[in-house]
Amino acid sequence: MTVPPEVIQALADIAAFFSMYAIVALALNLAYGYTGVPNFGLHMTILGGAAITGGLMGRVLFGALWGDVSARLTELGMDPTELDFVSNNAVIIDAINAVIATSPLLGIGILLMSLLVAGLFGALLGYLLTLPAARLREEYLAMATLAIAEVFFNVLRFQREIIGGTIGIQVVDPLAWLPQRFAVYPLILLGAAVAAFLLLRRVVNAPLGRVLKSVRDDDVAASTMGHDVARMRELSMAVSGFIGGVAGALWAFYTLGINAINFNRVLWTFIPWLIVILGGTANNLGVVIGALVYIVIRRTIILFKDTLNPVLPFDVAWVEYLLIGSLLIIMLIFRPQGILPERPVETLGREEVERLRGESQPSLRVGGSDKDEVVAR
Amino acid sequence: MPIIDVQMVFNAVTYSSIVALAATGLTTTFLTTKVPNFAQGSFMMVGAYTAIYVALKWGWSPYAALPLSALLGAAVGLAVYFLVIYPLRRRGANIMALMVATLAVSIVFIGVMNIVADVFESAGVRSRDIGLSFLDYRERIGPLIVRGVYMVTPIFAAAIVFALFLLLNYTKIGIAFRATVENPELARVMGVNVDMVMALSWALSGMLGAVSGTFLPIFLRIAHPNIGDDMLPTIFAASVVGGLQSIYGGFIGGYIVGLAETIVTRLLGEVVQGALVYRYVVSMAIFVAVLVFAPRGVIGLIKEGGRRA
Repeated sequence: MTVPPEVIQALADIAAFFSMYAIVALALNLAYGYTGVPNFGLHMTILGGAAITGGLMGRVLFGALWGDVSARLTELGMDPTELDFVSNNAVIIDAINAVIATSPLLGIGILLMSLLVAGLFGALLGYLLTLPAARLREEYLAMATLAIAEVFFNVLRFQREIIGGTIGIQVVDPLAWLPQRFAVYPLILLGAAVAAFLLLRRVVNAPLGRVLKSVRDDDVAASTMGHDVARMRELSMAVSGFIGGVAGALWAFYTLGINAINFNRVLWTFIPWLIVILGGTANNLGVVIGALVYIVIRRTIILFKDTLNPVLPFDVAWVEYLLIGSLLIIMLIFRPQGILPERPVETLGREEVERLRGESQPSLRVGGSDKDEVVAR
Repeated sequence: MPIIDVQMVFNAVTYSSIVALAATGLTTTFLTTKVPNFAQGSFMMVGAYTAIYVALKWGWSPYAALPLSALLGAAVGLAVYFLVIYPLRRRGANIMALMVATLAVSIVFIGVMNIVADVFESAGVRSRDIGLSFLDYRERIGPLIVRGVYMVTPIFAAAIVFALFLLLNYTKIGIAFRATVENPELARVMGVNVDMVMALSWALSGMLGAVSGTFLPIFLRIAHPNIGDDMLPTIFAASVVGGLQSIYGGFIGGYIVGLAETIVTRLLGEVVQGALVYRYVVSMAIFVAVLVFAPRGVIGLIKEGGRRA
């Protein structure tokens, strides 16, 4: 059985977009849905992660693989010492990719290393976004995070030396050794989405998750109970930023090229906000469903593009914005809790708790039957 | 050659006036409904495309689009209020829900304005990457190029703020507006129709946004359907820097931020090589600094200073 390549391409694209938006919306849900930090600077963490792959890892590899890369460049008749990383980006990245193609282990190492560094950088940026949080009310904090992110965005967009400014740069391909990389890579994204979902499920169902919710619902009460509200906000935003950074790096490796303009606020902050509100704030499964709804709307419109575009006096692609925006307004009015409303924390079952208690504190059982009676009473 | 020349001052003041008008609109709705309106840039696009249509399809002067822009802007503002804000408020939605709703409105407008531009194009009106500056009055005086927009925009902005001042202080609606801003519950008890005041504030905001947007394609050489949205952070910055607690905050902040983006960036460019592209970085940095150190803005600082003295 052979599947036409364009079908594989379309499926891969759907999987990649869905996974990416699911990851990003989950990250936002942790910050806003669970902790109540109105993060309108989400695109900064994503762009930060992407910039790590293009701006930092590319340069590091150019230096680290200097022997092999310069040999290849010399073969092509170029003087590797004369090349500038940004101006001669394409040839340098091609040479690095050729080296990676010979060694899968190197490629996987690069992938994991990049994701880790991008995540850490994203966490730092997420932490940065919470700095004004102590002094500002929600709506002012929303504007402040947006402004901070716009500073970062505009620097990367116009400063040519970092990631090529308005022209952008290419990103090394850690899967260059894989012949079917465009079909395989979305699976990695999908895996990352599942991993983010499981990780966040653990976080929000742990006692930490309840603390985060208490910070969101009543920060005065939370601090009265001895929780450091500012620390909790920082932690939540740092974890959210970590996920955002990893997502940015993953996306950069998917598209194999980055340009700051593609990491703008509409695509990577506003749309994820719509997805979170649509799916259900503080419900991770709902947010994933929200991402699915967005992708379905998007892909359906693309599907009808070829048939409708010659008939209509405008490009059908714009209907996407119209539909998703209107859908959100309708949801906000008639079902503000989203597709799946917030649920109480999933606690362990009683038997599981008793078993754990038995494991950790065996001394309780030593007393025999009379002690059990005391507990029951 | 002097660093700051007259031409540049003309451009800076005109740009600032456009920002000031839009920011005043943002402040108006913030005062009554307490929500930072992410769709303020969308109101600008309504004005911009009205000007493009009137000028290129009907062949009129783009300034002749001003009344129509104002009307359409007011209609759009009212529509946003009655279709989105009013139902949400009646259901007791919080500020975040209102804010996300205006965000959704701005996303809808990205679709709508691009469709409008496409439809205009297929109707033979060039609407993408076109400015109307070539239709503007212009004369060369020595080394200077004097354009009509240099005079009309600042005068218009000043006139509108003066009209606002009169409206707020000498009319019943204005007093009702101020009462609603100060204390909506009390105003309601005293017989003010708070919902109507809010609706009027959205109409006014849409009008101010659309009017400022009308000047955009006249001022710029290139306009596109996302131009209002691109200006959104600048408008936010202007409103907050001026002070969101006062209707004149947007106006004052518009000039502070507008001049910072143009003249300060130019001065920076003399010191730091390549700083010229950083106009938004400059305005956003001022924005963040004001939010962190003086969230009540310039007007708040003046008022607090006055109280302390």
